[in-house]
Amino acid sequence: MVHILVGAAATAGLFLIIDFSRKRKLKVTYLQWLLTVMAIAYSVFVIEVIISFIHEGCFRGALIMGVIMGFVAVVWSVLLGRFVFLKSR
Amino acid sequence: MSNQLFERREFLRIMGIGAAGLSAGGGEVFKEKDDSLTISDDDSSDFTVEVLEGANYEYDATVLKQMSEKYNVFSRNIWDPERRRVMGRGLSYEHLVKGRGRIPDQTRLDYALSSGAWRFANSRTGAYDWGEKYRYRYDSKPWEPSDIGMTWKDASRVVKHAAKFYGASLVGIAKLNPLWLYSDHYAPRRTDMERTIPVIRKGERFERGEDRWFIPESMNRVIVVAFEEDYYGIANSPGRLATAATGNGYSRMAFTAGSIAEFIRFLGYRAIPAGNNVGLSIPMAIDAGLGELGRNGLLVTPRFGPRVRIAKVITDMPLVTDSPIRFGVKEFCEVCKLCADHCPSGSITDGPQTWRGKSISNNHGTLKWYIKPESCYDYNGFSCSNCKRVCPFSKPNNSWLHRMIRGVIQGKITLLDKIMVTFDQASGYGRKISDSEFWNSDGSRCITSREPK
Repeated sequence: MVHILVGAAATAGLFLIIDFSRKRKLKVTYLQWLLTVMAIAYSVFVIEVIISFIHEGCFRGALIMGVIMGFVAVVWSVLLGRFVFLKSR
Repeated sequence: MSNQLFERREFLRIMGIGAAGLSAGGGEVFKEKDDSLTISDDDSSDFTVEVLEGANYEYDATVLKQMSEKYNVFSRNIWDPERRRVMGRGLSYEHLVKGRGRIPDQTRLDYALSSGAWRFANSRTGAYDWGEKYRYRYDSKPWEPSDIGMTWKDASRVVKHAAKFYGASLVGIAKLNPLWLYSDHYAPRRTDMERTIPVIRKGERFERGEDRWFIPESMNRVIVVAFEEDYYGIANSPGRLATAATGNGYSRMAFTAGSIAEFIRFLGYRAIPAGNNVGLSIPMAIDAGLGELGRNGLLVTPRFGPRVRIAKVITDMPLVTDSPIRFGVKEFCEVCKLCADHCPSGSITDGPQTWRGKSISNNHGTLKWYIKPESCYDYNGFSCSNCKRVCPFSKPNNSWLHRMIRGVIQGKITLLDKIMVTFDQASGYGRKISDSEFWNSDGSRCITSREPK
């Protein structure tokens, strides 16, 4: 069930970004879209890793791997936001 | 508006086609070969296992020979004066009275679990009978798979199915290599503690006599079965709960090997079920495609790591054999060394592989890591399983995460292997759990309770 929710949230997030870019009439290149989709896929991967560790009772692993990999996901998302979707005109 | 609707539709169409293409392509790339009877997806972790044409080890045919059962350390504890001096007062005295290897926080519950686990482990249950007196049960003609429209390949699958039905965690079939049979059986008497009886493999005589054993040459197949040991029991090593996990494995070995042997006899073939005796289980298991040899001297399987116990059934049923496998254990063990670092008796080497060991209980002539059986046994008396506990291949389940990591290890890239070891330790795997942590669980994580994957 939790996996379905994660997938649904990721898909919803993607559509929200698409909608947001249309409303703002942003010019997003195919490469930037590719990076966005990859960022969402990576974020899903990080969440699934955390869930997998928690499921087998390895909370320390969930914390450590979550922090290390999650940091990359956060940085990636911030860079996309800063230079693609939220850049000042 | 209509333009936006069109663009969104086109975007979704492209994403859908892309996803379908990826699934089809991925399915093609990752599907299992169907021309081999090696371990299934469920056992092997899918695409991470490489199936080999020949043996997965190097040996020197001028040095390697059949080993006498007399020289394994269990036997030596009885006849070897040097070992008898060490074992004179028994391991219980050494560990509990003198305090060497003293294990704190052991409760009566732990000892009770261990006692129950070992209940059916020994040969006095009749599980390891050879059945040489009753080859044919209900039909004088041995079963042929063509009788019911099957091939021998199907028959091999059927035998493996029966093995799993009887409780095996893993099963493989190999051609019996005579080098892995003991040259003689250790059979001491009060008047002769060093007594052995020869195991003769000539002709078709099939008998387990008082002064010699006969195994027919036609019995040239071995069905090797492995049994997962409880992860959380082993995680208590060197505590008593690890002994319970070990004993549980031994008891299941006896039941399953004996049941498989009876199954085969009912089909009109001969079967010799065995636990640790008759021959060396680990090389037979490697030949049968169950895993590779690790630094700790144990069989390392893709799914359970070294956390398995092995039994075998030697038979003359002409089954189709499996192939050895490789999945990066040797390369990983060269950089990992966690078992050597955590062995409390220093019995595991952190050096390179060699052709000879340092003990008469080693079987020289194969390029591998040799352990020191004497010091291992001296600490192992309570079934220390530290090497199994800390091994990164030993994981509580076969989730996608661990299968992915094994895929990385299968790439045999030293730097990545080192990173995996670091992450494994940082994540807290391999730590010792206390007996209270074990007993606070309701048993839903036990090997027979949990979900299959």
